[in-house]
Amino acid sequence: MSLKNELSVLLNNGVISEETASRIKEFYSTKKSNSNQRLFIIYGILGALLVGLGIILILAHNWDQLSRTTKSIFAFIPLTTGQVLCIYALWKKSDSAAWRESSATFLAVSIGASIALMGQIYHLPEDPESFLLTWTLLGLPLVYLMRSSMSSLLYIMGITAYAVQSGYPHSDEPYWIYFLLLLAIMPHYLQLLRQKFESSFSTYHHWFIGLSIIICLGILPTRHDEQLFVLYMSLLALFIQLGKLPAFTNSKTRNNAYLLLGALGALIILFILSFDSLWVSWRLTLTPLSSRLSATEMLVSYPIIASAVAIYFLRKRRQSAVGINLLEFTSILFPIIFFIGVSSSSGAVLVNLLVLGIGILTLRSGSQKEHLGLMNAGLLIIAILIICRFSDTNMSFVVRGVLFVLLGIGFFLANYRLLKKRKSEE
Amino acid sequence: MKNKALLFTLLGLAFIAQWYIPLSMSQLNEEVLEKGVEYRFRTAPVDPADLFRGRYVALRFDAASFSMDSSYNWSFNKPAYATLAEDSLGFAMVIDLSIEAPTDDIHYVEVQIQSRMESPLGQSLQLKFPFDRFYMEETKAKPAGLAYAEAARDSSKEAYALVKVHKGDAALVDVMIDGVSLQELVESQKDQGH
Repeated sequence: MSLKNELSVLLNNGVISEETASRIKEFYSTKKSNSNQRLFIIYGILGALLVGLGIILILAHNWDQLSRTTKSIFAFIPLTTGQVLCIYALWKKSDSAAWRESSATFLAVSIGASIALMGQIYHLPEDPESFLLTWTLLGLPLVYLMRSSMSSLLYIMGITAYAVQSGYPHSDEPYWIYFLLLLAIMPHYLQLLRQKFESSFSTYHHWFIGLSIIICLGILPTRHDEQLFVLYMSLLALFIQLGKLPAFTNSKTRNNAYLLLGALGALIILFILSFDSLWVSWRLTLTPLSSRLSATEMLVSYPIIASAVAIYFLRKRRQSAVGINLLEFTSILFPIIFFIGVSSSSGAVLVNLLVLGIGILTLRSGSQKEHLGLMNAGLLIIAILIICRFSDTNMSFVVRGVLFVLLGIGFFLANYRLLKKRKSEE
Repeated sequence: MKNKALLFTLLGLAFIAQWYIPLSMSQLNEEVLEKGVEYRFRTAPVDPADLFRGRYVALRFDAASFSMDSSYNWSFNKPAYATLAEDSLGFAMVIDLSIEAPTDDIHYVEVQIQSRMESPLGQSLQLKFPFDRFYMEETKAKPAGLAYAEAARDSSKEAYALVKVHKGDAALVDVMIDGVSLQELVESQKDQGH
């Protein structure tokens, strides 16, 4: 209403032409219908999830009055309803993402419900691994046949839960099943990236897949647990490189799951390794270098590192102005740092210097770009590093206190200067 | 059109698979309940903290402790097969344990090894039977659990689980305390309470 009024005022006063006015109207009406469609999808999925979960809870009451047969029949009702809805959605509403997504979501939830209810009706013992595996596998076709991204997200959650359940602590369950299951969702993910890179579903997939791999990488059979740090750092190096791909350049930072997960994860690992006691204990194991280099963790790390390096050079070839920041550099060259650390006494010193450097450089680039977030991230890195060193050195309280006061003043001054600069520029 | 036909065929196959799994679970257990041989598993005292996990009563059995004089290194992750027999009081007991399924004319159940301890006589094993949960209506599970724990501790009371065994598969029928079904016991307690 107000837009219409504004337009007529502008038109009457000769600010815009008739044609411009009608183009503006058209633009806003298509934008509105797009956002309406989005709302339909969101509410459709939410509704399907709530109704599905509600039905499960009602059935889980385990109505004593009903016979075993009646209970079994009831267990199939949500499943059948979901299937009928899916057929209808595909038959009549094939073009409506809201219909496809919500019917598939409902069915995906119902599959788990019917299996769980069978377990309850027949007093079956708990077997979460095979339950999760069966559930996710039965739901996988929905991703492709219903073209449902929500089912895909549920599937990723399901296989992650399965991997955690079966892989931690180490079990005989073959670890590669998870990776095979993850591979099964990749065609959908890639299609999503090709067709709707900017959509929320793509962003959610970045986050879900990134987190799932981080959570599950540790199920690999390890020979030297400390080398999991190398394996994880390689993965995070790859994530950072993925997050720096040109496709993400225009994304908001919070939508760039790979860059955020990669940078944050790499920093956390570096903070952990800034403590000398860890390095000392690893040196004491006296594991020969050859055995370290041929351990499973390393064999998996090599191709991951190689892909990170490949992506870096690919980026560099396409855009000439690609620099490398210290965090990227550290994450890619981390295996070297690690092996220096386990074979000499300089591991912790090296890591501390690197973290300090990363902090200072981030601070500098933040203030150069006048980016408050980046600048404070740099300050935070330095602050955390100092706090970490407090715990393993015997500095007196006075020194610690003075350092904290200086740090606080630093935070205040840096932010104040930047804000003032911005204001004067305005 | 051809694409659509293929799509619906695949969808049909997926739907059949979604039906098949719960249906086969039901069928297997119905078969055991129908054709199985009945065994009574005397219950063992339980840790009350372990009892309530929502809507079911966690069961423990005397027969789960089994000693044998072999030094075979049992794996915790692989199934084992427990041959069953009745003791003089008519309760189930495990008389043998094997890694391969016995022939079908012997009554046995598939079990998991939960713990293993070396003893002077060989080794004592703790078995996990495939029927350690008795699901009940949510309002009844807690009083039933208490009644069960009390009976399992009280040696004057006879508490056991009624289980049907068929070709290595087992299905839990009921939990009985002094000949009364746990279900009925809770209901009668409820009636008295009101």
